[in-house]
This record gives sequence, structure tokens and C-alpha cells, in this order.
Amino acid sequence: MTQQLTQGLYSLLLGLVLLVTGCQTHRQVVEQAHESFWQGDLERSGLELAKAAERPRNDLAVLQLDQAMVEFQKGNFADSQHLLKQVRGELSAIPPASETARSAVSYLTDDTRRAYTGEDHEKLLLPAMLALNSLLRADGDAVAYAHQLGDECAALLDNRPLEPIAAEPVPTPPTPAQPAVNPAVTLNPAVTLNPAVTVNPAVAGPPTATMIPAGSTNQAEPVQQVVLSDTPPAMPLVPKIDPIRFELAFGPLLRAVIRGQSVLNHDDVIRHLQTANDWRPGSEFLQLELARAVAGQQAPQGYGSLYVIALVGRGPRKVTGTEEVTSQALLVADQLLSALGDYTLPPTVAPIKIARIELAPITVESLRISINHQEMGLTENVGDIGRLAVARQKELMPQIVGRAVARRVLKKGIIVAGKSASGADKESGNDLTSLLYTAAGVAWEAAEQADLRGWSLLPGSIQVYRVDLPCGAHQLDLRGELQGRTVSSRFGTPVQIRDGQATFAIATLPDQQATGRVFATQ
Amino acid sequence: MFLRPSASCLLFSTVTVVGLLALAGCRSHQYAHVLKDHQQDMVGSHEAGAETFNSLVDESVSKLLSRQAPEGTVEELSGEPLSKRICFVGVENYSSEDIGDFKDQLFEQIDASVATSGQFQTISTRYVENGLRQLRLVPGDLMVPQNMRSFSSVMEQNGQPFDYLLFAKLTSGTTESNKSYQRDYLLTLELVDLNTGRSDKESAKVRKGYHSSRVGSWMKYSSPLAR
Repeated sequence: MTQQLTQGLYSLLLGLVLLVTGCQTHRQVVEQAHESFWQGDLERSGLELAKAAERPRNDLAVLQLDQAMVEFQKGNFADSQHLLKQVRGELSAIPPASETARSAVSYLTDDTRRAYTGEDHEKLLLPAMLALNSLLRADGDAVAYAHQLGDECAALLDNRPLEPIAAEPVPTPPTPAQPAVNPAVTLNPAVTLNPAVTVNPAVAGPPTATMIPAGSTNQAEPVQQVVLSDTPPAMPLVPKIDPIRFELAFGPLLRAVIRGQSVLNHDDVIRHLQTANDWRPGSEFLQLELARAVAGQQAPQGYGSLYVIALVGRGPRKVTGTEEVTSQALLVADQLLSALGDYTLPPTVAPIKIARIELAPITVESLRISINHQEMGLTENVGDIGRLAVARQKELMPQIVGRAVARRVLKKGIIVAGKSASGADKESGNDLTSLLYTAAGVAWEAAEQADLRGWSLLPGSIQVYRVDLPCGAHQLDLRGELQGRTVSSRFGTPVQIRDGQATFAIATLPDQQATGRVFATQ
Repeated sequence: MFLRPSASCLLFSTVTVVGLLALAGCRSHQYAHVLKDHQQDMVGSHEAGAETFNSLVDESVSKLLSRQAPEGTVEELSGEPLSKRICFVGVENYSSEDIGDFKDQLFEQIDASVATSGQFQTISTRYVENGLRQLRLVPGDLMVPQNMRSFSSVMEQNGQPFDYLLFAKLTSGTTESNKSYQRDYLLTLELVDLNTGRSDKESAKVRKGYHSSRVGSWMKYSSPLAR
């Protein structure tokens, strides 16, 4: 009996080593695919992702999501849409994680064994990307995807803890050392086109309670002044801003823009823009769009509107990190263990290995728009995907850590039970078997990997710009900017403006090194 | 330590069962069925749904049409009664809920109900939308006399003259009582005679109670304590 158990333990150790090695090779291929994408080599990125998808490691859904982004960048909207819809179907076919057998298995291995149901920010970006694909394909489904985006926003807000986390500055990703430049933007007044909307720099994160003086007409400016100042503002403060809603404003905005294609949906447009303004106060673009909608203002006679929707920068990524076990997490773990069997929690638990969402370095802040070689303005950020993901993970952290604690307790329990069953516990004095059990336990825990699966090729932020242009053909050009400095080559497309109608240009610039692309509706 | 000794056997059995379950796969399926005419609509647990909107449209349209009996005008050539032309300019949602994809369906349901009544002829939505866009107007602007005249004139130029404007407006009123609340949904149809400027209104109301539990619902409406 003891000999059989010992052999079993050797097999277990060998299996773990092989498993870890295999995962690393797969991970390297996937990371190379991501790097190729950021460097603008879409062909190579697509090939590498396809190679990884041939032998997925329980991560087919995220590989398909990344493939969808590559296809979108290449202008293959039908393929991109097909992949996104496939993943949406796969995710919706998975029952709630707690009910799945795979979730139970994850208690014996790690979270990578869990069925991947998608992070909340990914669930939001799915219908958003489907809507953009649909706009560019003109397949008539954009409104349906806009509705689905609304449903996802509502689902996220419904599933939040009772007390949303207070607004706090989210860690700012590193930027290359630059001289401090006030990013306030001045519009070129010399344009002969119809007056464009004024725009704001895309860099400001969610203002906190201490940042926004009440009654300020331009709330973006004081945010930056207060951050730099040592003295607190003397003016009264506005209520705290919810960091999740703040970054979710792109949802209602996209709905408003898509529904606004028909004048009969005018009240819908106002409603969605009002929501976007409530969620992201201080956004000059949203304020102007709302004021324009409320006044019933449309493009003047002989003009049409050009909406530029830009996917700028690198999205968040997951890295392995450690997390202290809080009392809140222990409470969650206790609840989980109670459901699994007759276990008790230890009084303390060493820090736990988890997948931490990390913001990518900002290499592009916003896009500068030129029409017919005349500079118009900058795109404005209406949703920072990285900040959204970080804020949401912070809310869910007790559940994530709680699950990891429960897993650790369960594994230790199994080792202790194994020792006891094989007579290798302290009383029997069978030191070698006991040592093997301990070694197996250590290896078992060490083999745990943080669940780094995620939609890695997401944009860092969603930015917008609108301008009314005379009917006819125009040349739209864009270039990336970082702290007032041009950081990318110019890219553009011809756009056709129709009387009283909206034309959409979807631009992407994932990185300084990548080639920017822009596609316009016909 | 972490495990009570008596649980060891149970633990190994659990591990085996869990392993088998994992191998067996865990994909779930979704099922659907087509509702027969006699089957009741599903009742929205958090918001209004088919159960509310279908009855609102049926009631409000039939009330409005019954009040608008066709006049004695007949077509000169055929001698058949001349139906009035209605320009339906959309559904405005002023309720506290985001009705999502129901909005377009409400529009189509009202439009189809009016069109099939035989009393009125409706104008294609595409013409209405083009007419408004040509003038850079939104539906709410049509209540300004000058805008109304311009719109009527544009529609006539486009070969789509009309006699009436039809507006639909959805509103709601919420009454809260501890964890339960009642929401009244009101759909109002307003018909404006282009020639006289006279308007006629009809409304339909549906009241819904929302509760966090079945007990809450029973306590409010069925228990002996309910008023």
C-alpha cells in the first residue's frame, strides 16, 4: 500500500513538471503573438495565434478574441465578427462557474482549470466590438449590438458589491520621461469648415472627491492643477465619483451614437447621453453632445456629421502577483469550504498567488484629427479599459483571494489525510513517506499558476471626436500624440459625407510602433 | 490541522467524483420554445416586458380608433370611404426604464395596428425620417407651428401628404413600499389634426408590482392582511 502510494507521488511530481513546461511553451507562443501585434506585424501575429489555437490550453476563447482583434485591424470585419460571435456563444453556454465541475476541479489544481467565462470588461467590449464591426460592414445589426452593450453595462452594475469602492486614483502606468506639458488643447481657429466640437485631452483619469471643485465650468483643468498642488482646494466638493461608471461611459455613448442615426430615436439619444454624462462628469465631449441633442441641433443644411471612434493604446494585461489575505477574503474562503465539506480555516494564510491586472505603459494618449490637411482637434477619452478592469478587479478581489485560500486549505487537507491513511503521520514515525508527502504537497502548491487568461489585444481606451463637414468627399488623417508630441506616423482614409447623415470612421492605434489604421463607413 | 480525521475517506471519494465530472465535460445548453397564442407572455421580473407593452398597445390603439370614426368623405372615383392619412412620428420613452429593443417594436406594433384598422392610412417611416432629416427637425420640434407647416409641405413635395400627426409617449410612475414597489406604465397616443390643430388623446395603463420574494407578493396582494 505504502509502496503504491510512493510510486503515485513520484508520478504526480513528474506530471506536474511536464504540465508546467508545456504551459510555458504555449504561453511563449501567445506572448510572441501579442508582441507581433503591438509592433504592427499583423500577419505574424495572426499566424502565431492560429498556431496557439490549434492546441489550446483551456484558453481557446481568449485566443479567438485576440484573433478577432487582429482580423479587425486587417480590415476583415466579417472574420472578426464571426470570431467574436463564436466566443459570445461559447461564454453564454457556460453555466455559472460555481455550478461547473471544472470549477470544482480548480480547487485541486488552480484557476486555470476553471471554465473561462470572461472578465467583466471583456464582456462589455464584446458587444462594443461587434457593434463597430457591424457599422463598418453595414449589415444592419449595429443597433442590436448597441442594445446588448446596454444589457452588459446593466448586468455589470447589478452584480456589484452593495457598497461600491470609493473613488481612488488608479495606479498610473509608466510613461516615458517627458517635460511637463499642459495637455490643454487649443483648436485651430483657421478652419473654414463648420465649427467642430471642442475636445479635451484624453489622459485625465476619474476625478476624485478632492479633485473637482463644485460649479467648475471646465472640470478637467482643475483636476490636474489640484494633483500638482500641495494645498487642498478650498472650494466645496462634489460627491464621490464611481470609478467603474466613470470608465463605462463609452457604453451609453456608443448606444446614443448608433441609435442617433435615426431622428426618430431622438429621445433615446438624450437618455443615453444623459447617462453617459452622469457617469463621466467633466467630459467636455459628452457635455457638448448632450447640449446639442437637447437643443435638437443637427448638422446644418448641406452638412453631415463625421464621428471618429478611436481604439487607442494597449489594453490591460494579467500578470502573476501576490495578494495578502484579508479578513474579507477569509470569510469568502470559509463560505466556500463550508460548501465543500468539513474543513476549518487556519487563523492566518501566507500571501496568495493571483492574476493581477496591470496597466500597460501609455505610449499613445490620443489621436490628432486633420480634415483635408487642416488640423481639427484631439480625440477625447470616454472609457479607459485598463482603469475599468483594475477597478473591477479591486471589487472582486475578496472572492478571488477567498477561492485561492480555500484551494490551499483543501490541498493541505488532502496531504494530511493521505499521510494519515498511509500511516505516514507523526505517530507512525515513517519519515521517508512523510517527507515524500510533504514534498508532493509543496510541489502541488508550487505548480499552482495564476490564471493569466484574458483578452490581451484590447485597446487601452475608447476615444471619440465629432465634426460636421460639408457633403462630399474629404480626407481624414490621424496621428498619435503623447503629451503634446507626435508619436506615430500619419494614417488616414477618404470619407464620404452625406447630407444630414452620420459617417463613422473607426481608427485604431495600439502602439507607437504599430501602424495606425482607420476604416470609414460608406 | 485543516481536516478532521473522519473526513479523509469522504475527501478521496469527492476527488474521484470531481475528476469524473471534469472528464464528462460541463457544457450547458439553452432551450427555447415557441409560445402558442393561448399561452401567456412571460412577466418581466425587474422591468416591463411583453406582458405590459402588448396590452398597452392593444388598448390604447383600439380606444383611439374607436373615437375616430371615419367621416362621410368618399373617394370621387370609386365611391369608397376615404381613409385619413396619419404620419406617425415615433414613440418617446419618458418612463424610468430603458426599454431597449422594445422601443422599435412598440413603434411597429402601433403603426401596424393603425394601418390595419382600415380607418387610417399610415405613411412609411422612411418617408417620415427623410422629411424630418431634410428639415433638420426632431419629432418634438413639430409642435412649433412653423415647423409643422414646413414638414407638411416637405412631405407633400415627397408625395406623402397627411392629415394627422400621431405621437406615442410612454411614461411611468413608481410607488415604493419597503422592499416592494409598484410601477404604473402609461402609454399615451396623441393624434393632432393638421387642419384644425385639434388634438385627441387616449391612454392605456398597466400596473405592475415588483417584489424581492414571492412572500412579498403574497403579503401585498393575497394575504388576509392585504388591504
